[in-house]
Amino acid sequence: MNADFPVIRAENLQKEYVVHRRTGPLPWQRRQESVWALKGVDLEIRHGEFFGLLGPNGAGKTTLVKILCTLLMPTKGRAWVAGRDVVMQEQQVRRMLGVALTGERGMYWKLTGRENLLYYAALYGLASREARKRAQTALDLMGLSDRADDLVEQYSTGMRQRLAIARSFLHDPPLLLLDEPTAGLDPQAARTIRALIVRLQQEFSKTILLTTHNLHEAEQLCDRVGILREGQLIALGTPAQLKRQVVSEAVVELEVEPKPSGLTAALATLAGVIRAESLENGQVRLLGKKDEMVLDSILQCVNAEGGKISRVVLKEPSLEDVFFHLLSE
Amino acid sequence: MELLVEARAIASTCWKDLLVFFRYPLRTLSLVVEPFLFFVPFIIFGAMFAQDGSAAGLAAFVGVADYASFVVTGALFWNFVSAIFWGIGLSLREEMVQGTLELAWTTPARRFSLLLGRTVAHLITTIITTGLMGLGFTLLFGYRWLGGNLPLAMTTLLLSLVTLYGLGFVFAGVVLWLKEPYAIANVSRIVLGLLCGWLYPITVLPEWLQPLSLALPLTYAIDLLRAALLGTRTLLPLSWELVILGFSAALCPAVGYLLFRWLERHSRTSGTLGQY
Repeated sequence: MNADFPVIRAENLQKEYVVHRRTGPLPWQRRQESVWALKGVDLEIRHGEFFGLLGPNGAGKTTLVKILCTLLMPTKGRAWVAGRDVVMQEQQVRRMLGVALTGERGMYWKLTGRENLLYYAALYGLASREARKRAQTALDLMGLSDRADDLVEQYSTGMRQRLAIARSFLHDPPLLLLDEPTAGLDPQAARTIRALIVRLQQEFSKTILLTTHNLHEAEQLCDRVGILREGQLIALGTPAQLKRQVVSEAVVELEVEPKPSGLTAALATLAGVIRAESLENGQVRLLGKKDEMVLDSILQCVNAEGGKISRVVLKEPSLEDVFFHLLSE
Repeated sequence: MELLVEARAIASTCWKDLLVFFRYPLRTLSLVVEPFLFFVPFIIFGAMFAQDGSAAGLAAFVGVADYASFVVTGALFWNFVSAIFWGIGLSLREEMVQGTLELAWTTPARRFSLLLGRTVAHLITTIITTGLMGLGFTLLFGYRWLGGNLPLAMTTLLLSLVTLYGLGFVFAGVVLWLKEPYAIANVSRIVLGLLCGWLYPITVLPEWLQPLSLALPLTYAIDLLRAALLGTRTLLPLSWELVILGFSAALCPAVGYLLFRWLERHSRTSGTLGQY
């Protein structure tokens, strides 16, 4: 497949859901409303690309993924996977993609890992011998060979997620749709999954569409990212390109000992500070306007709150900063 | 080639369901014991109205006085109705809850193959449990059927199964659409049980109910099966009943599957396919 060939193409893709809002306790006390989950998304993802789809909850990420994998019909617009229309040629589209949806459901817990893979291999039309070979390869690659014949109910969450990814590339599709593959995993398991996904993309030349809430993950893995907000693609580009959009902003990380309880809130009120947050390691992270955020006023604020700065680090904005910057616009 | 791929999907779905089924040993056991125990009280209840094992009242309606065999034939057939009519939809519901439905739906296997594979597994387990039930009734309650017209019984069963598949597709579609299969299954079980006469001849129903009963193909299926195995009198001439059942066997699967596809498309449009 040509590298410039769009494996995914969407044109003015729209999806409207009809929802019923309750207006009272009785079953008929409700009114019908329409919610637009996608409001005209245009997107092209090229062959071999690792594309990250970001956005807050309800932004339309899963809706887009479900349309692409034919689980959902678009209201307007069109989309193609490897040149096949997702509505008119759904059968061919399903052959071209492998899917791992959010969460550890989706596997038969009373079957072993290998039995699960063999079942799905048959649904993809693989002959028995070929299915066995591919299942073994997938299990080896995902590091599940030694537990392949255990029931899935005995697997850890991380193992189930690895099995879900093994399932997605069993039939060797050119495109993988991975919907939050590291959600709910501990850092070690998430790191293992990320390494495996990278290996899949690099060794087997897969095009990957990854949806994630984890912005560090997207920054680390993706060639390009798209940010969805309220059904619209508000940013599209490489992480470096997107970061240039916030070139007028800077990040300051402070290590404060002892850290007063109201410090983060106090820092957030300073002139030029856009966002202040407490990090898991106890540090305080400030995102602000380069020209307006004054280090002196930060020091004064920390002193006034009764803290003492032990370390200051100046950083470039991350993809996370871009994300929040765009969402706040 | 395409046929081979679909056959593989059907066989694999059936194999998967059987594996899962036999990995719940207590559920397997209850599937044999529960229907048997459920039907036993009806047989005992009937004994109350018989003299020396002969139910004169029943004989007046159907020409045969063996109430136990009359009920057992209906009960054994009812097993197939439960497995196929409601079984497809209920197993779809299980897949929704497990989260496996959407993933199976992202594969290129045809929906028809996924549904059929599921029901083949149900059919296999139902044949086993019905056989064991029949054996139990024969040994414990003197169920007599061996002297019957087996070719007619097999033809009736085959046509009935094809009809039931069609009805099962509709129920599966309704499950995808409404998400709440148990209320519908319970009500339809009671209504069908009341109307199609697995427990009694439908001629004992109030006159205003009988037209409804006669509109159901299952009524003729049970009636023909009893006529074949026990020699009972049929409601309509036997050949008419066979034609009606044959007609419903030709019509129901196609109409049922079209309805299922329509409701499935509706679920994919409303975004409720995987919801439960």
